[in-house]
Amino acid sequence: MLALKGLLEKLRVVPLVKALASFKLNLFVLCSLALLVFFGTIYQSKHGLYMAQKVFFDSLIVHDGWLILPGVRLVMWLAFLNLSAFMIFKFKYTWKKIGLIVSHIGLILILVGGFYNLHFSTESILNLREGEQSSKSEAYYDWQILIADSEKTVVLPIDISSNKISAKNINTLNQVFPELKIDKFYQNARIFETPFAGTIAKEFKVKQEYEQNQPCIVLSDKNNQEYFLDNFDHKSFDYQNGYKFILKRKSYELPIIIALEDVERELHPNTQIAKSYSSKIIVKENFAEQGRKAKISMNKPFRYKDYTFFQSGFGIDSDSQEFTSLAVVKNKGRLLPYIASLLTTLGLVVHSLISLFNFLRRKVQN
Amino acid sequence: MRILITTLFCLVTQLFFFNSEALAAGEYQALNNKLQELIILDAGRYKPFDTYAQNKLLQFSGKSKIKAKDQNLDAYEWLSMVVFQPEQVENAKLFLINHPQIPEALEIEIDHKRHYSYAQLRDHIDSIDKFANSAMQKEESSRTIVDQEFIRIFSNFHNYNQISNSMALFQSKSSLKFFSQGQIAKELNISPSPSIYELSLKAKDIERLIESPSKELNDSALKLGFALFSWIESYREYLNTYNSEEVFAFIASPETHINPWTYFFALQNKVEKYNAENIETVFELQKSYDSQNLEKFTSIIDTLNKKSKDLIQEKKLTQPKISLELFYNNFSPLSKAKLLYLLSFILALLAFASNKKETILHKVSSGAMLIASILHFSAVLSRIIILERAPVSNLYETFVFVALIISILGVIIQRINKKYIFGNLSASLSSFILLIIASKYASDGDTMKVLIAVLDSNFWLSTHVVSEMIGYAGVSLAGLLGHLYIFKKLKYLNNQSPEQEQELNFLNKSILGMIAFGLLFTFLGTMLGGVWADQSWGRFWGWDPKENGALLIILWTAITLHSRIAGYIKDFGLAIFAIIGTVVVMVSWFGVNLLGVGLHSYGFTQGLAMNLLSYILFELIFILASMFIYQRITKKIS
Repeated sequence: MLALKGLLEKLRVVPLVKALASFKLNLFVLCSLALLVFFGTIYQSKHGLYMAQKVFFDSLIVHDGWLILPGVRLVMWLAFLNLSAFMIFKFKYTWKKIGLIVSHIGLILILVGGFYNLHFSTESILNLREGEQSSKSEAYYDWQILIADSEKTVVLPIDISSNKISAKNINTLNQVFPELKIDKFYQNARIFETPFAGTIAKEFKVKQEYEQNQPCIVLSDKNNQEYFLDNFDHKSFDYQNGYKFILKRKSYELPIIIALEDVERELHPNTQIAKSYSSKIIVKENFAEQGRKAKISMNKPFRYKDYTFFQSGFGIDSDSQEFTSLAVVKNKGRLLPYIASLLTTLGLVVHSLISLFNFLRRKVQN
Repeated sequence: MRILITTLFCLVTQLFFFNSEALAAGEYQALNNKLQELIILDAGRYKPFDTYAQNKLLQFSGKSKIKAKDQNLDAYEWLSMVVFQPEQVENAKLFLINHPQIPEALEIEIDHKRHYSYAQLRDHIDSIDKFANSAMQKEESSRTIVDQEFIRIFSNFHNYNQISNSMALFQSKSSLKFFSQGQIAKELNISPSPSIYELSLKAKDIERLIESPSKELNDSALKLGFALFSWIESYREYLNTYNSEEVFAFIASPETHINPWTYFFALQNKVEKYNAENIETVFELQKSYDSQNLEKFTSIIDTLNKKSKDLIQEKKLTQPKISLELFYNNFSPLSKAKLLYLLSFILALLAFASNKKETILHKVSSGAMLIASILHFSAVLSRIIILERAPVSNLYETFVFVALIISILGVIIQRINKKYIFGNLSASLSSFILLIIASKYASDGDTMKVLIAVLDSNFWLSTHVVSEMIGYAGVSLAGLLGHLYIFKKLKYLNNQSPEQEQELNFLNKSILGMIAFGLLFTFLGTMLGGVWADQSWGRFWGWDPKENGALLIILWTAITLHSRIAGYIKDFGLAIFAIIGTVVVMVSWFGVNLLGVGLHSYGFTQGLAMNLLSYILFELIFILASMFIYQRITKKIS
């Protein structure tokens, strides 16, 4: 214990530790975050949430035109280091400050929770028509080029994001097919067969809601033969010795089968304004034939182990059949933000009450 | 085709109107009063006729009263006339047209108050329809301001047209008077001022007379038959072409919209479920209105309300609180509170200027403030009871709610230290301003709208948004107190007595307290929002603009408190930071709403953007000026 205290004393004077635990860093973090949130929100209104997340909220450095800022991810790391260093090396622990202690520990946990969720949770969507069932959900943004051999076994899945093909993607492809190169990547396009120009990719305006974009990829081999991939018409191609290339949304295996019995929309009386949506589902565990009934409605999700299914949308497709959209979130640490923010709030309440009590006591004394 | 139908319709209906000179609203006062109680189902909510009338008048004209033939009419009086005696108010300057290019395009003389009558627009309805239709064919993003305005006027005109023709079936038409004389009148027993409905009941007899050997009878019967046919068909076409939802329904059915015309056409087509009794009841209503038979009119309104209530009961829906809503409308606690806030502010300002402690001004100002708060609270409470939800689901409601919290906080600060007037001064001014903005915002239309599906969770709406709004109130009040601190500080800077120091110290503590209060509630609100989002969409945080707005307030209050603790700012700096805090609140409160619609949209949003910008500019100048003066004085002293 004494040794630890001694170590702390020694570390406390190290310039790096001093800098990390300083109020200056704290204000740098808070001001940067405020600027990021402000500019990020304006950017979002122009470019949509997906791009705002890429450029501002999910990055280490923000560089947009004249604006250069540390990215939210970097700032969050600094915030974590600053808070931890401050609480370890600088904070003077007294009972009077119990509220502040609890709230700051809560803040550290919020950062930990954010980090955990960023890396260990997945969000996807499950669209089901009435009478349909599925045990696979689809990603909102992420896509895959799947390459299967003649036995229909996937030999190479390449994960791509919806706004660009990375160098890593090309590298992965070339390891197996060195002669193939990716000529073009369109964020939102569709392949057409034309009588004179042959096969062409027609590009559409990129939508801000990236989940609505349908990417399209044009590849070519060493003979300049072009190959087209899109998801719109499920345009795929066969290549050498029976390899088949497909482009589709990345899918996730669910531990259960969900079957949609009925989807309902309740309207406010005599209007077309929706009051609520709900889906009656059958949950089939262990992929059994039979299952149990469950109901998902707005603000009332269905939970299964680490998975949560939320009522996210309702629609009528081109065959005038009703379908439901269920958001699927897999998250082991979903309780962490709850505990963390509860602690912070609790700390703030306690601190406010202590301050109020002191103020009133002084007032009475005066 | 649509244009042709509308033009024909307007021509036909115009022909049949009476042109009486004196306005009859006054004579019908008692009937109109009773009509206020009629239950209406509009935009998914049951409400009294009075509320519906207010919404409609605001929607068309942006005003709460209207002048017709030199009389100022309340909304319900105006709408009663629109329904029962439309020709009386057709020349009232009702429709607000914001853009001067519209009257120019329609070749109407420009009205400097930007209001035009139904009769004026009716003469140009073919042009309105033509311009609006071509605007509607454009993509929403490529519509100009004028396009949007044409669409709005088009929709308002047809909306009004439908309401004003709701009872046309039962109203006497001048052109039909022709048939109330001569042999045909005797033969068919036509009353001196016949209505379409009355004549349509004699359809079989008219048919018989067309076959009559008498030439006079035969001719008149043919004319009458043709007149009736053209009337009814023009209506049928019109109602088929345009959505007939705005035609006034006297029985609020939760399932289908049944108005007098529905009954009429259903009867003609022999649809059993719309029984003949209902159309007779509505016919009687018009007759009793025309003859000013209050007793009969009252009994019919009661019968209609009973039918609506039975239908509501059948569907197991909650019965509307009509009497409370009428009381709320008529008593208007918010406008009374607004005046009292103004009174309290003026008195507090006098007390502030006099620089004396605990005078009669302090007391009267506090009294006015307290009564205003109670009235304000009762208004918010009434809305909670009427709407059965937390009173914070649209921008209007947030203004009213934040104003209430500020006023309560002001009363508390005033109670803590009665010597000064800071609590009253800051809270009365901000509550007054917020209520003014609220009443401006109310001119957008219905302030008691039903909730869309995603918001329809009473628990989360009442906890998350309410906490957030309480936070807004705390930070805003801190900013106002910041202004007072700067005034006092600059005034006392030359020669500061211990008593003055005490005064400044109290102000400083209040600012600090309000910022901490604001941080606590904004954080609580954001956390509850996170939990709600996690429950509804499976994510705690999603960088949604509204979430970001709340986060910005949290960050700014945290920056303020940490800067103060670290000693980077002192009391004066705290006051400045508190003022910036209010700017941050305003930006995240309204700025976020502006982002979605862009700065180019017309009307209130553009006004809002300008006001927000002017406010930020004002605060910026205030801060820079006060810092400059502060430095000058301190330099001089040292």
